[in-house]
Amino acid sequence: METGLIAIGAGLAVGLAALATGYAQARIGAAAMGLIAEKPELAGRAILLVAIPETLVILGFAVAAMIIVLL
Amino acid sequence: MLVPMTKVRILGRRSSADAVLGELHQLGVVELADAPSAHSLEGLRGAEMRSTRSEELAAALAQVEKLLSGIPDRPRPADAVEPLRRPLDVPALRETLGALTVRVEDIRRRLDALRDERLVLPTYLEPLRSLLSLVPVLARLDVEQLRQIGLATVVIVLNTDDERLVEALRAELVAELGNRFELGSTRVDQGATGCLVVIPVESADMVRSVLDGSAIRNVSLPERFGGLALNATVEAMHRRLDEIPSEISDAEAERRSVLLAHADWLDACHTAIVAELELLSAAGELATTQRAFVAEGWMPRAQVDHLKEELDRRLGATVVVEDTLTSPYDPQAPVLMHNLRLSRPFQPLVGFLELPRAGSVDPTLLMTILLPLMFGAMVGDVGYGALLFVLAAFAGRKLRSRAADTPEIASLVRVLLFGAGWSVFFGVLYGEVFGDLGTRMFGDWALWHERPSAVALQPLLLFAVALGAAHVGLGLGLGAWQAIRFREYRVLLDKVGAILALAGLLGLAGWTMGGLPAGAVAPAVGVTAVGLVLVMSLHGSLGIATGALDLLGRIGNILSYLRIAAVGLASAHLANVANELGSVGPIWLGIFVATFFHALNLALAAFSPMIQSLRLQYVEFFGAFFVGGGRPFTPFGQHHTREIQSTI
Repeated sequence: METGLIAIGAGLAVGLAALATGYAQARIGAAAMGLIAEKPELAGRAILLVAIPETLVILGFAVAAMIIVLL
Repeated sequence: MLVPMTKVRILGRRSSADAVLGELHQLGVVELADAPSAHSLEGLRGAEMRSTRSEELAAALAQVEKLLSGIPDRPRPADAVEPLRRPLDVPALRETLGALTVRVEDIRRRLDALRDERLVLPTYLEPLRSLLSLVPVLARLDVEQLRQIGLATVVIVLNTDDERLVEALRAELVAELGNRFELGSTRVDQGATGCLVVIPVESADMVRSVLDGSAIRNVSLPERFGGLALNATVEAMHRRLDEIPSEISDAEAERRSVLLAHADWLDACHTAIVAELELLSAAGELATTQRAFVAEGWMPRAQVDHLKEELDRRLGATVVVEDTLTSPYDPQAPVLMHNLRLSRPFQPLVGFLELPRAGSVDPTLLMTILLPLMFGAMVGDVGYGALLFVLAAFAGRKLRSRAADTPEIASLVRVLLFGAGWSVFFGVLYGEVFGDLGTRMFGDWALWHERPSAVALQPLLLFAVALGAAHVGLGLGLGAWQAIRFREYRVLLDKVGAILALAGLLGLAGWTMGGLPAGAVAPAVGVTAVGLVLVMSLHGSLGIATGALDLLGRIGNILSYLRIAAVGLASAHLANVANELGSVGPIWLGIFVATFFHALNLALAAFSPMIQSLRLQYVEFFGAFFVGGGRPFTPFGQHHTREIQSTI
């Protein structure tokens, strides 16, 4: 029972963070594509901006890993 | 590294200005700057004449480029193309170009007509073919034979399959001709109806004019099929459709051969026109007095003596070159990157984000080491690494001829080569060959830990965080060193504060994990406090909040390196799933399923870790020190002397 709850907690930590990342990347990605269409020379910065919210899911992964390792 | 640049001033007799420009163009080491504005002097005389000449040359260049665009895949000449004599005789050049253009345009028009005919003929053919069966006897008679028996035929296509429209047509014909006509109709494809009207020959013109005035599409056959019987028309159209492709190929071959015969001359024209346009444009950058001229420009500091010697040798003592001894950190200076041959594929990746500011740190060499290392730490599989190496080597060979057009892609392929090597290295550490296939076959042979195992999670996370701390710390250190060079002492204190605070926090984390003794706590707390106060004090009145947030951002940056563990774990688990699925069921099915999943994982391994490691460089690492805003060094006449960059 306890192991199952730990697994659910870890899954939620990653899953919810991934949802948030996806939401943010969708918004930023759409704007970035518009930017690249108008100013292709800014593609590097656009990709950078799209990649930034990924930290959220990585932090979710860190929390999930801590839940599994420490509990 | 960034090549140190300096601004040179070139002075000489006004009469030698053209000669100096010509030599500078040949040498291709100076990027000219706007001297008239800088010194409040007049420009070189003859601006209007130069402008007219530039317009003429630009028009000729457009013609040349249009002609060359017709043979994009032309073979490159084995020998250097004979240069055209300058100054160019533009009217004669345009006359020759005009004659060539007319010839090529004639062929193009012929090609367009053939292509149009190929598209249009089926739209006639389909209704005609459908109508043949309605009047099998009349279909064999040509127009003259029909006239002799007092008949004429009209073919009509209705853009609908609605029978009521056929009845409306019949009613209209009844109103005009009474019952002296025959109307047959049949449905053809795409919702159209073909109609054939047989009428007395004397009523033909009247009926055609009635139909022209109505909303009905009246098919009038192309001229070459006029006067034929319906049967013969259909056969002739079929024959024509068979002939058209070979006529198109012949016309294309003719156009290509005409252009290829002139390709070398067109290349020479292109080179000569571009060179003269550059010279005309550069003349506007020169400032003049009554007797002298002044040119200014940026160039690599190491090349100044060479420039002096060359101008002295070619023009004698009439020209003087002065080094203005500009500061190497002058933000106005253009940027020229020059790195080891091994690092050059990484240069476009740095420039892809932004060029570093003149005098700042060029991170190319560090990227050469760290980007593939992080890629390899994520993939971490001997099998995938070896396959990626082979694929990257193959792609590199294929892309070699187009590397100049797509430098970023060519660079990524080379980076993939390095990354594949590191993947094999980390694969040996993790003991992974296509996931746990190696372990299944040879037992546990990992030098460190197989990633999906329970015992590996904690060390893997610690490894990722340690790598992140080292990388971010290195970035902050570079930022501090750069701040000293730029004499930006507030930035220096900010970087030092961040380094101290992070070092203290890492010390505390080490003590929490049991890696450091209790005696380390007090120094760690002290260092953290000093660093935090330093950072906060530099952020003004809101420093307590913004300084702390800044530090939190740095910690987030370090934790961001956990993606090395996360992406790697996901890849390793997917490989194990492929092996697990492959071991279920018959062996042939297992091999198929395992190959499919490993191929999928390999595709992900080539893409995702590359994006993630690039992001770690651009955001976490560059964010600690990188100062962008540099503009590329574009020496005057560089298309003659592209190799200059590699000789500096």
